[in-house]
Amino acid sequence: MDIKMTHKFLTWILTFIWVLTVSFLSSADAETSLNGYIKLDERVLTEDAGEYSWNRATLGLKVKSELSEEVAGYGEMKIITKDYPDINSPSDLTSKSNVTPVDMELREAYLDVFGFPFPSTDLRAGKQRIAWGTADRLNQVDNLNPFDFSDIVELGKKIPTNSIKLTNYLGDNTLTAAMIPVFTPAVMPTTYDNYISTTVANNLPSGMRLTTLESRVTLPQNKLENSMFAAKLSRSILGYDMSLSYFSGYDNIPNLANLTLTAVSLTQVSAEVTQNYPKIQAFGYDLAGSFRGIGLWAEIAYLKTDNFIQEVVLNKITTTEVTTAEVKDYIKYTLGFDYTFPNDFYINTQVMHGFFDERGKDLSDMLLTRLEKKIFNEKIKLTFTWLGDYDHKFIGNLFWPQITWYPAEATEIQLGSLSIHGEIGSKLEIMETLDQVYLQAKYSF
Amino acid sequence: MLFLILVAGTIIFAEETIKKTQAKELTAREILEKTDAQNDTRDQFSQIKMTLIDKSSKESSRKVTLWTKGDRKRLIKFLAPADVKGVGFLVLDADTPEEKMYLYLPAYKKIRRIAGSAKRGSFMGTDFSYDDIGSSNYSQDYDPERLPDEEHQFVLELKKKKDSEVGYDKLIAWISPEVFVPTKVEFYKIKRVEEKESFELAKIMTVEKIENIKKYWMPTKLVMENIDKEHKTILELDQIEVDRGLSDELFTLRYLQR
Repeated sequence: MDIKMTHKFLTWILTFIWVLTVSFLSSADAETSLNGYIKLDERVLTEDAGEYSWNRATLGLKVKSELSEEVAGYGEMKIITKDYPDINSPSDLTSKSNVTPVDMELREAYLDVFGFPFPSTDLRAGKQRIAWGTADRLNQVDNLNPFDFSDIVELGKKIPTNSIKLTNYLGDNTLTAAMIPVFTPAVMPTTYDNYISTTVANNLPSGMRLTTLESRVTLPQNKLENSMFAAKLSRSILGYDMSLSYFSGYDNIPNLANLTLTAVSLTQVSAEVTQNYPKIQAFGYDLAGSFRGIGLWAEIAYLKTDNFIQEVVLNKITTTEVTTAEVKDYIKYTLGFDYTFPNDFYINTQVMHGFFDERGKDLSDMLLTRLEKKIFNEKIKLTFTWLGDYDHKFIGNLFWPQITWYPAEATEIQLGSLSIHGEIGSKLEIMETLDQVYLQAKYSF
Repeated sequence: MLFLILVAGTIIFAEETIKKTQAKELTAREILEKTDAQNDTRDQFSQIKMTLIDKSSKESSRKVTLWTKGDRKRLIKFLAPADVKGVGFLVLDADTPEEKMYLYLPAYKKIRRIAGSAKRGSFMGTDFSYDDIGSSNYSQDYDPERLPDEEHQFVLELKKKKDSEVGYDKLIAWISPEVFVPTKVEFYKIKRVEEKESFELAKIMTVEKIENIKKYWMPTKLVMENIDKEHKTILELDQIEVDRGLSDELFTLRYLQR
């Protein structure tokens, strides 16, 4: 079965499960609600002579059903029109699925059993998002779900995964335990291919030219021994909410484990890149509170690595050179505050030591500031976000102004732009191609 | 028979006169404490409909469910419009230095701690602040002073206490002497111009309907008008239940996200 057929088959299966679930829950003595939204999203790349990068309409459906006080179910799915017609050959023109391609995503589908197995314990099982940490999107202790870097506008977004979560509430203490049976990797940004080719190019011996580049990914095997586990203990101390957490699993961002460059002539090399997902343990601490009206939060993670190797092999005509770097244990943290002024002007600032994709000791510092002001009886919200990449001086900046208009109930229209600049070799330099202007409209029902 | 009617009439007149005399003798602090006591329920449940009206008379609405326990615990669940349905707001140790506010966002499956400064902001775009919703203990935050009665109503000037963090600097409240419920409240903020301070009228709240629920007299329809924005919000309480013994467990992070 080719990929297209598999995809089509899966789509039908998902639709079937969805309809079946809704029908079942509706027919039972359940209190069921169906909500959703319609979202339109048009984006134009400004660096690339007005090329449309996104051209999407999304129908999101959310169903929540409470069978009793003890049992509830929740499901959320998205049906998204793809950006462009998928025409690669004349025969594709006869296929509606190629002319107007559609994607389907089951975002969440889980079952809640409250007071199970003990009255003070709640169980949630299924495809779910388990959000840990107190920071605003720049979380360091939130390792249970993989990143979704497919959309730069949704910085720090995560993908719900199949898991089991038990939460026990004992007095002021909350103890959460989670198990994620199968590893799911992060969805990488569209610039990820550029990142790999840039890394390969940076490792080429001088005077050599790349002929071919082969890249492969090794995922952890889907075995019980590779299941991931996490636990968190939370409580309030002196008015501040604090948590201690532990995660044992895999880093969901690929590691360039091996780059083998083989000389095929005196001036040419071929490259093979192997990526893997190293095993990690994360010991986390987070805090949130308010002091004199100012919201404060902090997250710190100590990451213990296991066999986290990055190797470059250079096969010359007669000799072989191997350079090995090992990522040792390291610490990442985020500190932040927010404040609403009496005139409703809102500021939110965070310092992040160690961006999402960074490992080891050589971590960068990011400063993220968001300013918000609602005007005209909250009909319009003005937002300005600035992300600065700091390494003794600011080596990259992302400017993100946005205006949101609420013309009617449950309706919002957003116009925004992203402007990214970075010094050569910096993280934001690779993302400069994502400079864009976007227009989004969303109606919830 | 005539004698009996005369005696009854005399007794009723005497009672009214005594009541009025007693009422006239009440101090500002006593009036305020009696007003606070009217809302001194052990716990309360209600569904609230809020109708927002802008200066061009365009209307929109919001719906929430509110649970309170004493003065210190509040839980609000947003029912409508659809884009905020499922959002929850929990306040613990309300109006104390230890106050904690949490917002549950179902789209992110996350509970966020909210800074104290946010409570001055508008509640869901209405003319009520987060502080206004469910809060009515005036004695705690204001020092009262009695002004001359107007149209058979007590009039109190309430000035913010130095250590209070409420969003208004002064209130003028008209209070019904029969049921000790405010029928109108003017909210003032300090305006500073060239080192001179003056009180500027920010909002006016008018109570349009008062109902007796169990032993409590409660406003069930209020209008809050924002003077500067020329915008008003009509707040209507429905399905009110008081003193039904709500469990403390309801006011926890566990129930906030259910």
